Amino acid sequence: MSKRKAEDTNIEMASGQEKISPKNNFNIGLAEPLKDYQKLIETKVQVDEIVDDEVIKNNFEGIAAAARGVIWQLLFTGTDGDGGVISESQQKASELLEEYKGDATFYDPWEYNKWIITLRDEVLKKELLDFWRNTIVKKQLGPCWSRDCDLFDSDDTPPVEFYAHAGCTAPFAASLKVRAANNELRASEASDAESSREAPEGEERSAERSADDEAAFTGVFDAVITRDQPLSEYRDLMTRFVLTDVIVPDEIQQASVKKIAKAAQDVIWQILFEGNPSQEDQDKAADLLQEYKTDSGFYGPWDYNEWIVKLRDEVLAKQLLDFWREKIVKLELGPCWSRDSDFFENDDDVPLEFYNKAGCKAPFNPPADT
Amino acid sequence: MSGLRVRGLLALSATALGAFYLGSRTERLQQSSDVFPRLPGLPTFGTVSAASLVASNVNLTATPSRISEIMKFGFPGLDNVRSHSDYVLSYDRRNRIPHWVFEHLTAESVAKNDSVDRSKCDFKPDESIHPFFRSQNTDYRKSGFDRGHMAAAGNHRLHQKHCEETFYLSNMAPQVGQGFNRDAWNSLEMHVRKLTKSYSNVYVCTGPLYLPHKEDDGKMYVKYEVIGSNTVAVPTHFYKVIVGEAADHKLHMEAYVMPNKVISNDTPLNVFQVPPETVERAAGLLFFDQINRNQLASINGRKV
Repeated sequence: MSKRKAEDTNIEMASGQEKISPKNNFNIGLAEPLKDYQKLIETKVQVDEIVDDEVIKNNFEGIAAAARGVIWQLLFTGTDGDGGVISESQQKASELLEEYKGDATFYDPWEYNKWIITLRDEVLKKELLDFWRNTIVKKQLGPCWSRDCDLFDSDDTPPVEFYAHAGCTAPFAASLKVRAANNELRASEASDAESSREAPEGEERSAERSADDEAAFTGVFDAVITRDQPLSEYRDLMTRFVLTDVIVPDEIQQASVKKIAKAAQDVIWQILFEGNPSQEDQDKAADLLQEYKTDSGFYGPWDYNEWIVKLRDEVLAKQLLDFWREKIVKLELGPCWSRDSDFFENDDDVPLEFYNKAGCKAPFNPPADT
Repeated sequence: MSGLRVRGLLALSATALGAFYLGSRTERLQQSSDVFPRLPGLPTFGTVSAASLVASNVNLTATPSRISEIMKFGFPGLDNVRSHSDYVLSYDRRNRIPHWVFEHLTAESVAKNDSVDRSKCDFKPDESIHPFFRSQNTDYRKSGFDRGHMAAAGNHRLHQKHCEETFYLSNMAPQVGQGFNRDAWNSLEMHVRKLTKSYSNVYVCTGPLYLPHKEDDGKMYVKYEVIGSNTVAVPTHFYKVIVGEAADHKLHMEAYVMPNKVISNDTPLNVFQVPPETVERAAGLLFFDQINRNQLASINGRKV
């Protein structure tokens, strides 16, 4: 345990100390019982700082006891008075009871569950049947259970019996019946199914690897890129043999990437320098070159950076100035640097020199601090 | 001259031999005092009430022997491990809920026991957790979520204290109440308890998951709510990975993942069965690491 734990606890506890107050100190008036009650809960129970749990518990018990007293008073004293007063105090009692039950479900259902039975008996004895029907039964203010409280679960017995008085039934009785029927049905189905369990479909990926995955895993495949569709063929190779979900040993994956890169270099060289490349050929070569450069930026730019210099020199020697200006310079197809690859950082060299040929300049400004 | 040299040699070798024997003796002494292997568990301190009669085989403190019994098949992870008298927990300080809890159930430990009174159990903050990382009742109140047990109270009925220790808020995670914690999830807990009828020992690991989902932009995100002033994480799913040890010592595994939302009552449990390795990948943990999967007799009811 760290030393800090104890110190922090002490500091935070100190601020909570003043929250302790003797139980008999909780006053709920008859004028606005709900407001008084809410204020007490807010200040003595629902506190955000860390207060000793015992303190919170005691505070809630005290407030709950006060609330029970007031509800009892509102309901059972002065019932001989005139009707207006009665309905008003019943209204207050109903509101407070509802609020108190809501808190009891969270803080302490046990006390509530015991007391609400005595309240019910008194209500029935005094024949406050409206209050029984319209408040306790209708608003389900009987004992807390799994429907309204996380201290219970479906193992626990629902308080059906509590409501079965004065011609009432629990509002949730019907849904319990449906559930019970469902459970029986399921139990019988389950026992039928026990013997004949089927494999769940589509859950597991097949253990067999496809032929492509196998090739990716071993690195045994032919990398062929032709002049017709170089870009899509290159992409297809990458997708099948590099971008797989199979875990491939790193050196094999690197070799596969190199193999496909070599094929890309060869076909670009072929397109540009075997005969006179048409505009369409040049577009194709540039498209592939761009994609290949992007991948290099990720998988390792060193080969590309070396080879692109050779390509440039050949392009200039073969006087393919359009390709030089419109593709290599404009599309920034020179060596990878920190702009296109996470292999580099800001203090690495910027490949300005590369572009200073045939009257061109790098299409980007050098970083301000160089 | 040579006599002097012999004497020097003798003195030297005597010193060396003496040092060697002294060293090996102290090492032996140290080992014998350390009978139990060191376990990465911190017992939480609790007082034992002597008022009630205690069955002789009930541990009331987190003894090393009980912990190694529970953790027989390996630790899923070692972050903030705490041991209680009847379950072991790894606490996720960032999310203020467990990473995992581990339990070992027998028919006896899940049997109805009149000496255990649920109504005496109270959700309480775990004082053994630094205040920065502690969840409180206030975080859960009116959040719309239950204080959902990871180690279920109904699994620990040998003694009142075992049950009470499952009510520490460090053993809770926010769970949807009706339709999940108090229903479907509870059915799964009951199912696990029922397994003690077919297996002499049932080991179960339970914990939260934060699973990604694809949003409209086609990207995957992990998104989960946090509640209260302590920002307690609301997991998207929960798992249970279970191993039952049959009388013939064969091992049977089941794995479940359930979404933390309302699940209709008529959904059968086996809908939620998943291959155990998918849970391991998602949780970043290895369950029952000490068992070779090929040695299992069955996984999710199917022969291996």
